[in-house]
Amino acid sequence: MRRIYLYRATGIMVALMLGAALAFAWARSQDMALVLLVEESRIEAPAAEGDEPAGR
Amino acid sequence: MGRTIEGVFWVAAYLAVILAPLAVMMVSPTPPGRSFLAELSVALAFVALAQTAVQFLLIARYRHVTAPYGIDIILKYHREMGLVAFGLLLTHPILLVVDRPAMAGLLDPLGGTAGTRPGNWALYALVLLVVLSLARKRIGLGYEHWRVSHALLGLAALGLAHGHIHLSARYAATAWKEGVLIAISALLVASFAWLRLGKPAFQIRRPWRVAAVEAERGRTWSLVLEPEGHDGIAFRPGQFAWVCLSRTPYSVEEHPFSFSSSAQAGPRLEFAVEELGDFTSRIGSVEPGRRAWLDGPHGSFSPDRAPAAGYVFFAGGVGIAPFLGILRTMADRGDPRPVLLFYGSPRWEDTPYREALEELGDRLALTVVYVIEEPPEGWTGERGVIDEALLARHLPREGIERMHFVCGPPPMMDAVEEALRARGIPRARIRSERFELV
Repeated sequence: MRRIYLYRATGIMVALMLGAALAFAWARSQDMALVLLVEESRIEAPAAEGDEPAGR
Repeated sequence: MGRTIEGVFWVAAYLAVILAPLAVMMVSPTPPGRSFLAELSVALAFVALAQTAVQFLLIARYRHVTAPYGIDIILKYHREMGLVAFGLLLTHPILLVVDRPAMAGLLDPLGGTAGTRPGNWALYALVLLVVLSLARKRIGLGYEHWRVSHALLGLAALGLAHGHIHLSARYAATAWKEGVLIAISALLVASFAWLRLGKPAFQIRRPWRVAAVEAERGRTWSLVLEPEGHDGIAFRPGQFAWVCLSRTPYSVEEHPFSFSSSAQAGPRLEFAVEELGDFTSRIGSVEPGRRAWLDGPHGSFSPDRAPAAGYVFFAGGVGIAPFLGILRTMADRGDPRPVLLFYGSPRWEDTPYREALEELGDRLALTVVYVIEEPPEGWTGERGVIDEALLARHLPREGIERMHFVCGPPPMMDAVEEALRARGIPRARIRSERFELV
């Protein structure tokens, strides 16, 4: 009986994998990329040192 | 951690590992985007790569991973996901060629570029791996030889795929990204290396000795093992162990057998072994005193993990082995709960352990219904195979309150599970164990 759950689990896994692959392909074909927060903070860090954020 | 939470955790962890390469490859810096088909081809290959690596963990017999589902289901999942990964990898070159037909020439295993060649070889290694797995019996490949070839081809495919990614120098051109990919594969392969190299190093300090090999009815043997210089192992009734009778625990010749002795008695262990394959057909010639090695206990096919007011067991042939262990344990515990055992066998005279069951009947609230395919003359019991009509005649009316356990040849298990479902028994009250995989 657990085979039924196994087949369902396999189906769901394959669907999720394909969904992720399609999303990746679409995003990359649009030349999109994730920018790491580390890189962002490194860029913003010098500016933040001297200036107090507005409103403080 | 509860079984369900553990089960959900491992599914989430599995998905996280499978999708990790895609997430990593999305992080900047990325190569210039290409067409949708080309990027989809790459995405499917990365998913398949991670899947292939996880295959090694699935067969590494980690109890935390196997316990929530049952090791037989994990092995079946390994088989199914292997085919899925193979299919995804096949689509990788196909989509690239569809996108740019000029790339078809790169599929030549001897031609192509330095970057594509390892990828081609990885694919051909997987083709061979899949063919050998699906056709093992038809081409007469021995189980042990198949296991060795399976592991080596899998490792070769994974290594070559990494070579392909490295030499293609596109998505993994950034060192840390390639490092993440290699680390995922290395960790998962290491889990398998632990099974083949680490575990035997412990087993060698806990040897066993063959105490007896006793002939039973129906080409079945009782293999009795005794611990040498240690206390033995504790197990739950219905569980099994991988038994190795080679000179060293590093041997690949090992087979899963259910404990047919009581979990309350010890430290001696008994296994019921039917002459079915290369190894088991030689079991009768094993001399007492021979060294043995055990990897176990494994499995979740146990009433201890499925409490109920009573039990209904379905055994076919040597599928009686776990039930023998369960019934012997129940008898030793003085368990008063009612048990109904359906025991299918080709012939009455070849029905192993029926004398032992008779003795157990005196100590337990046990009813045995023998179902004989070719009954002797004058047989008044059930004949043929277990079907819904037979269940209707014997299943108690409060059957829904009982837990049902099924173990035997696959066609018998399919028939019993269908018949039980047809009688309204919920899936959650049916447990089964299957090991016919390749």
